[in-house]
Amino acid sequence: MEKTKGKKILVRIAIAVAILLVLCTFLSNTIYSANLPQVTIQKVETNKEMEISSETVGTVVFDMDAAQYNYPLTIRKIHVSSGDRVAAGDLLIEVDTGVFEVEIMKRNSAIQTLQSQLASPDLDEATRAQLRTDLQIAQRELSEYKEAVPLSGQITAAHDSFVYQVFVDEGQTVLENTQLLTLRKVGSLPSIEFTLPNDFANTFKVGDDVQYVYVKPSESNRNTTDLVKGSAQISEKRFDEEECYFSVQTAQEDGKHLYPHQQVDVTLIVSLQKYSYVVPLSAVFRVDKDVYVNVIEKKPGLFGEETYVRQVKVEEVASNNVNMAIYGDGIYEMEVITASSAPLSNGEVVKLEQ
Amino acid sequence: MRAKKSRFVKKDALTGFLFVLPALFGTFAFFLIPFVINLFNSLFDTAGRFNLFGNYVEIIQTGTFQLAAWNTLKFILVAVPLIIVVSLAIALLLHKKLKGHNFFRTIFVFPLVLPIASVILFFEIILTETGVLNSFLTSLGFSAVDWLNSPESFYVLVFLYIWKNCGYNIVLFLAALNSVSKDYYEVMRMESDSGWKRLRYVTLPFIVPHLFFIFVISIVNSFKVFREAFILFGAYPNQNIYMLQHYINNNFSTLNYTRLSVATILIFILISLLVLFAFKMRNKFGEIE
Amino acid sequence: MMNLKNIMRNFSLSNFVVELILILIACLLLFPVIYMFTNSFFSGAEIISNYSGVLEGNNTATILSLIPKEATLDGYINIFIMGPSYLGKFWSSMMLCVSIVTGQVVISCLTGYGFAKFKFPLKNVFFYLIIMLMLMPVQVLMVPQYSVLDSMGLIGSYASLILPGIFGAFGLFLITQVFSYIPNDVIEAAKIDGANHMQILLRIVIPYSKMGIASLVILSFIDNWNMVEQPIVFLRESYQYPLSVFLSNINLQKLDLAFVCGVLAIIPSLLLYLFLKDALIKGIEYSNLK
Repeated sequence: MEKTKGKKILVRIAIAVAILLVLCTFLSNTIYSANLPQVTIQKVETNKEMEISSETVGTVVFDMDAAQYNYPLTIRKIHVSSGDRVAAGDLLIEVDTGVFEVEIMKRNSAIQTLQSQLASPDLDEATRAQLRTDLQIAQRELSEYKEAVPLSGQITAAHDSFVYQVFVDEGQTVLENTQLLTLRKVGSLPSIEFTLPNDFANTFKVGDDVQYVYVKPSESNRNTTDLVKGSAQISEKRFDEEECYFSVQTAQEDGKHLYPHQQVDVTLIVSLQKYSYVVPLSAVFRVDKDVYVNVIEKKPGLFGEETYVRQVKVEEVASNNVNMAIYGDGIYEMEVITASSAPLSNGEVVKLEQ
Repeated sequence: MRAKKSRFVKKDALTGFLFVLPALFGTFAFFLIPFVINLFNSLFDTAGRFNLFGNYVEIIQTGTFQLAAWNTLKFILVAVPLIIVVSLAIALLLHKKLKGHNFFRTIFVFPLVLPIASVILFFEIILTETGVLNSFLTSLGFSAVDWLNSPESFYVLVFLYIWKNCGYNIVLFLAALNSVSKDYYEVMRMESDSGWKRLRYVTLPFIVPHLFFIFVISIVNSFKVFREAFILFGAYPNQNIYMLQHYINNNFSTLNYTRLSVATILIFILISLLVLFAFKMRNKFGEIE
Repeated sequence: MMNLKNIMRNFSLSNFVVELILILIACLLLFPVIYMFTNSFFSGAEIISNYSGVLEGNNTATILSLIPKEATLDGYINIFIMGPSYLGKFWSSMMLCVSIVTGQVVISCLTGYGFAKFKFPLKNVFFYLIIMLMLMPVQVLMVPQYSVLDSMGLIGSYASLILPGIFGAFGLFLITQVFSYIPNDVIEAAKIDGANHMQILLRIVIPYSKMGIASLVILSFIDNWNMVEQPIVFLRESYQYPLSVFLSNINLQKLDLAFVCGVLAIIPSLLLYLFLKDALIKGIEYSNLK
């Protein structure tokens, strides 16, 4: 009797243990799946067009006319100031021409001396030729001088311009070749200049599209500013030892609002190109100098198919701020992980977002 | 009557055969054919040429094989008598039917059913160089022994074998002891009361027929100790433990079929010889019964 | 009648010594199991501190302790609840064993009946063949078995383990022995009553030998629950491996895991043993060659 009672107890214990284990299996399975990192995946896009762009900061540069003369001057009166608009022929600066007239008289007398020397009868051919050459040089110099000299002692604008900067003060005497003022021709278009490191510069060439963004006072409300976008093409590209200089000619409307040395944000866009394998940037990560993507793979598991992570090393072909073009073995059919709820490691089991 | 009997017999024979057929079929497919494959493999060269016994000669002469064979033999010669003595002793103690002898019997048989992989870790903890056994020894003044990878591992293996299998033998001995009729004891008691004499002259002779069977079974079980050896010591254990089954196992991973088949056929021959020997001896001694 | 007087009267020194020896031996035999069971309740930190000698190989002595300073269920929670992989292995081991044992019982009963109660030509040949097969260690046939199973296309699925297991020679032998003890008159009586052999088998023979069949169940279950060599060879994916293989591969670094998994592996064996231990012992006795 005891034996059967013992056996009955045993059977009950066994059943209890079995039920417990079954419950634990289900429970652990649920907890396990709940704790798995959840990932979002996306297939690698093939033959996708990508706009490669690069952002940098460029400086607005204007072609300027400068008024400068190769002799000393005394400034008598300045009629304009920075930012003024002048019409062709407008008076800009009055300078003291006393110095000019003295110089002109000096040269005239030098010429007269030469002419009288030439008029004397008894000169040999060599001397006469020499004197004639000297005379010609002196006369040419005089005419050049006269051209350069604002005979009236007035410096006027050659074209319709904006006065950019005035460098001198009234009453100041300046040395030769000093810039007196700089003028920007009305209607001249500024260009934006920027530099890129040489190895990167190769991506871009003359004629590529460039977009720029600059700040100008709002037309509606003086106190706020608008961001204005403009686009243009690279007009010039010039290499030097370390950097490459680019120049972009701006559009007509923008020229009105830009001012010299203004900093604008420049975005260079290579013309759209098709790339074989493109993934979103969120799928890519770097370790030291290598580029990796996380790819999902399926393998059979005890409770069905399991999805796990595999890190694949790829080569970066090109990238913009949204996607990256990559290349790697067998990348064609892969699905990359674009987002995950937790940091992933190689071989980790994950579950797909439903 | 005769005709009926023969027809009866024939029909019976067929039915019997039918009953046995599924097992026969399975055994044939899963055991016999592999055995024949083994046989063929052992007779042919690696290049596929027929090489009757040439392989055997060649392999028997290799050092590894001789080492493995010698170790296996040594193990059998040491472990089997030891376990027989131990289990016989315990069986005799249990046979006295003292209080709780059933309970003890249950406990002694238990290691047989234990999944060896569960407890192997325990042994590993005790036996590693810095394990418990060594610290015990060093505290007593002896030097530490690397139990897992030295000649002493042999004794570890023997101990494991006895630990696991003595329950089995104890049961067999108990059955044998129980089959000795009480009358004989009575006769003996009348003549002398010494326990030893009783043991030697009555009990033991009656055990002898069973002894042979137990002997054979113990040898067969000693081959099964490979599992413990493999888990505890790995595939390439110390020289003293490298047994025939290690030989087979290692050649398996190198897919050296000829060696494998030769070794397995040799084991087969060895065991068959042992069994035949045991049968013969039992038949000789069985006259007593 | 367990009062003190009786004990005093029946006391004899030799008996006492015998009992003492038996107790000692029992402790020795059971110690690993008890140890493992108690250690499964240790917390991870304690395990590391106790076994630092072993884990890191430095010379601190390892402490064997049975009673944890702080008993925790952490190990159990980790194994049973945090992830299903260990329980999954448990169930796959279980499924494997149950299938093999069931199949083996069926086939063995049929075969045992045929061998025990019939005579047909070559019967003895087959029988001795089976005995020979029973005595062989597993490795002997494992390699060519692989080729056979491969040509059947079974490698990689559980069938490659189940099918050879069902036809295990030990089961055939044991049941044959068991059935051969059934007195023939019972069977003759049934035949006279007109029963056909199938009915005899099901209604008479099997109920008569419940013990023997039970012993086959437990022996076979234990044997297959522990099988390690065959799954490694015949199965391809590591997730398919049964619990026994996993246990044998645990290294020392994951001690807390190992103890709990060990306990997990022992549970079915233990329960089955307690339930069927009489049958087991009978079965061992039956396997005696007469």
